[in-house]
Amino acid sequence: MKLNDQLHDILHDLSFIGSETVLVLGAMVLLVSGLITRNQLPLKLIFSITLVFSLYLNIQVVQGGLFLSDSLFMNAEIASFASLFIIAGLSIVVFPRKKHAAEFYFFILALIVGSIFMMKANSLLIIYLSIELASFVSYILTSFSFRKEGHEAAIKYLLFGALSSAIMLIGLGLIYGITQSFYLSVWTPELFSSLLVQIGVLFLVFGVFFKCAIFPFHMWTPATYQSAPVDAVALFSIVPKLGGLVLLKRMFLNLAFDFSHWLILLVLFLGMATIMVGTFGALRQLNTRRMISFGSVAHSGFLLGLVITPSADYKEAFWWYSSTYTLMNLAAFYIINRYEDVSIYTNSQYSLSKKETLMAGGFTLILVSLVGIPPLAGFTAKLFLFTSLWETFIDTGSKTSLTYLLVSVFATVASLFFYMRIPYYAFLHKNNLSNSELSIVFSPRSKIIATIFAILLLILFFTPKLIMSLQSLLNNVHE
Amino acid sequence: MPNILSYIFVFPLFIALLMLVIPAQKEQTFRSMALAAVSVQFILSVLLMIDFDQSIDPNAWSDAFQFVEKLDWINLSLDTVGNFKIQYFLGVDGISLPLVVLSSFVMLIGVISSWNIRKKVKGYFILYLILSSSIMGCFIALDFFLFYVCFEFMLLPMFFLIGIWGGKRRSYASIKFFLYTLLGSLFILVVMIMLYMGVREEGVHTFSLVAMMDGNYTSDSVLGLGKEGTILGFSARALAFIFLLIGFGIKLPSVPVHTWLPDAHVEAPTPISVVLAGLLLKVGAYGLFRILYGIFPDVALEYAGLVAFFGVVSILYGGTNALAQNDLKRMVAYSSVSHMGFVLVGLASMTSTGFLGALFHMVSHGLISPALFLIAGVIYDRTNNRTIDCFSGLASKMPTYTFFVALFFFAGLGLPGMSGFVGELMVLMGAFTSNNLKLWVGLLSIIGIIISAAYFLWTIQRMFYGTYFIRKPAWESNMFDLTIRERWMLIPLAVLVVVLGIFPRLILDYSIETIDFFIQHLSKYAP
Repeated sequence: MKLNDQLHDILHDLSFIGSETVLVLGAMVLLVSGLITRNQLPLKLIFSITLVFSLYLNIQVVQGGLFLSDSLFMNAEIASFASLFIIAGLSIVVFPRKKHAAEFYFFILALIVGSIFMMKANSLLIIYLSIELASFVSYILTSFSFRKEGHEAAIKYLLFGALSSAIMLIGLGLIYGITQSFYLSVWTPELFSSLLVQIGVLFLVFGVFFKCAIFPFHMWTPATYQSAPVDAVALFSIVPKLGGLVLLKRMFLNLAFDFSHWLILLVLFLGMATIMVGTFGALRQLNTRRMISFGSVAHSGFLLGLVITPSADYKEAFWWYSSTYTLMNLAAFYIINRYEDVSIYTNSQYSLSKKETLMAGGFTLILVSLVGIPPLAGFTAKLFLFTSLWETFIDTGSKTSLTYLLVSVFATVASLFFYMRIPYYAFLHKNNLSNSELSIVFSPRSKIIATIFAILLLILFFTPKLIMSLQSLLNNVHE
Repeated sequence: MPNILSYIFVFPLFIALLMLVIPAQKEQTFRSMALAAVSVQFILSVLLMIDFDQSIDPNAWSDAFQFVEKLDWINLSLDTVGNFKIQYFLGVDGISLPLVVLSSFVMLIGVISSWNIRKKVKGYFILYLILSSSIMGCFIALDFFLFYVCFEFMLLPMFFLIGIWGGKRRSYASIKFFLYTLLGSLFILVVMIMLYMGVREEGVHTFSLVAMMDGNYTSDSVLGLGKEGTILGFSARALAFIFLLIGFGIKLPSVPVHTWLPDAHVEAPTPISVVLAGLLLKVGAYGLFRILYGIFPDVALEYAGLVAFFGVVSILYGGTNALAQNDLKRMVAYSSVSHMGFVLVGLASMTSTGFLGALFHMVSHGLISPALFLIAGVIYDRTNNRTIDCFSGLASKMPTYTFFVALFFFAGLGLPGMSGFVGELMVLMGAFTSNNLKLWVGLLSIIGIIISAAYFLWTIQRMFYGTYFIRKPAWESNMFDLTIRERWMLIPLAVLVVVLGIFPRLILDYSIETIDFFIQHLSKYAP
């Protein structure tokens, strides 16, 4: 191929990564404007404009498949998840941010870019680079609270991250050594028949598990979620996690292992362990953020079930769960942020805000949705999860899938124990405080936002079609 | 009146939404609005009862229902599971109609009983009306999904109603209630998914209970009749049956999963105890009728002994526990467990007398147990105490109260001429004539009636006869007889209990055709 043609191809393919390019350019503009102004409003504006423009470009992409010398891959699902990430990023401007806005939003954009490339990666190198990009940004963002605990959590996070990326590198080496190729698209079941390369895949999967907070690579979550700034945590719990899961799903689709393959069984086992660890870990937590973080570990386990089961070739259930999960987590962390603003950190402190029924009521609805009780969107998500697992059991006769279903059901009951702790303190618990100590007030703005989140969860339960049409709205890719 | 079921279902919810925008200081407005809402609901359900055609003799479940309303609610195209179709599907038959009327009636009594709630009136009545709508929804929903949503949505209002307005250990009781019921309903959810994947109507998967009861299984469904293969050592149908038995058994409640009930009852405020005993337990029993027996008749035949065993254990264990209680409300709570055991025995008999008896017993218990809790509430309102030992010889001081206590206690122990007798008698007749049950079921159930006579009569003797005595002299000023409001709650219940005892056809005529069809439907599966 002539250089001229190659250049022409690259130029043509660049249109596929228009949205990422905009994110990177916007990030640079943000950093420069940070030198000029410390005012959060113009910075938030630049951040939002960047994301909106990038969303627009992302929706403009019409053609799926491999591009840029096969190093990246695109399909409708990836495009809609990319849009979801951008929207999630956009929605964190509702969180107040007083300090270091320019640097913070710069790193947030980098996190989104890393996660989008994670989903799109077709080459092992891109997988590694994008995971590292997302990880490094996360380490830095964790210490952005500029408190001692934040730095401690960041170092812990970094150490775990270094370990898991080392494991992943071994995996990549093994895979490359045997398949003689960097590309996921050339993966066939025959290439992966030997045990050695299967172990390579396992190591690679472990690297992704680190991003998705799957047991035993979830260790970093509680400390990070507790100490990082809330707006960053809201995104940590959504963007890299879902990005990693989409990547896992693509990998397993290409591998096409039989459902009783040891690798699949191991992954399913780890998924069940994640659900259990998350649920039972949360039971003992006093700090609200730690509790929610364990809850989100359990949710990773639920999502993993949707990623691995064969019926997940179809995307609806996974998309449904992911998008409601996104909404629920954003809502939960927003309200936590409002409460922390009036220095309420632990579950029992919610009894201080007895007078604020609206805020506590909204939080209750969001937590109930996280448990998965009708009439809230979280229930429909759980319903789709259970349905997919049951369908897998019927199709394959796999007992593991049935066990997964039962574990999920019991974890759902157990999760009530901890999620209801906040309504318990906010409404039922008797405290011996005088009225003056109860005089906590929230701004009308935060009440309105909290109410909107709760109402959205109700609406999505009654008209689940909205989420499906959202998916077709968020991408134009024809395969 | 078209769409009458929708009005009955949605009206309280609508009023609850309206209440949200009214400032919280106007306490009297909330009381009146709640009263108006449930009164309208009650009037509509009486109209429903008048319009109901008793003579319909169905050939299939699909033509057993009246006042049917059917709309597409959720229609999602999912590749995984085909079309995801959920309908807004309402209707009543001879089984649900008496419960619909009972439900609106008990809710009305509950509002009157809530009149002296002083704490957070706005929140209380909003939750109360939401509860009212969701209980009603359970009885009239013919789409499993809709049923399940209503079934689950009772939990949240109930959690707060017990947890905020309850007694000393209210938070413990409310969380226990929530957990038990959620565990049960997740078992139901699993079966719902199994059924949904296995039943088709007009070529699409459906949640329609009617299609499920008529057995429109797909050829590849594991739930199809006579399918080979086992899950966890059971056939799929048996497993589904056991799951549902656990799910509805918790709600009923049946021993050994009844332990949430005494706690919830003791801690709940009086009106909520009334609703809990009068209606929530009936939702569990209705689920057994409609879903467990309606959809899995073949397994029900096979497992009749198991169901009867749990029924008998509930009767005896609940009864002996009631005998040992010193707290009046706890005693009544355990008597509920005992009485609900009769519903299980009636169902297990699988005869038309037994079924009718179980249904009648549900209605009768739905009138008697609210009255018993109101009675316990009367003494608690006056003294903040309801320990049986603390009182004696109340008859001399509070004659009207004693009259009502005696009346409802006798109704509870099944005195002929009261509604409790008819239900128990029919259940026992069913149990003795049934081919599925051994003789011991009926015999042990009779012992249960004797035990119930023992605890009711003993309580009357301890609290109302003998010389007048109260534990604390400070209560003396409060020991007045029933107020007008209290009388207005107890009189309608007393009238209905006596009328139904003398003239049970008032209810039975509505149900007999449906139950006959039900039994015919069941007999198809007899070996």
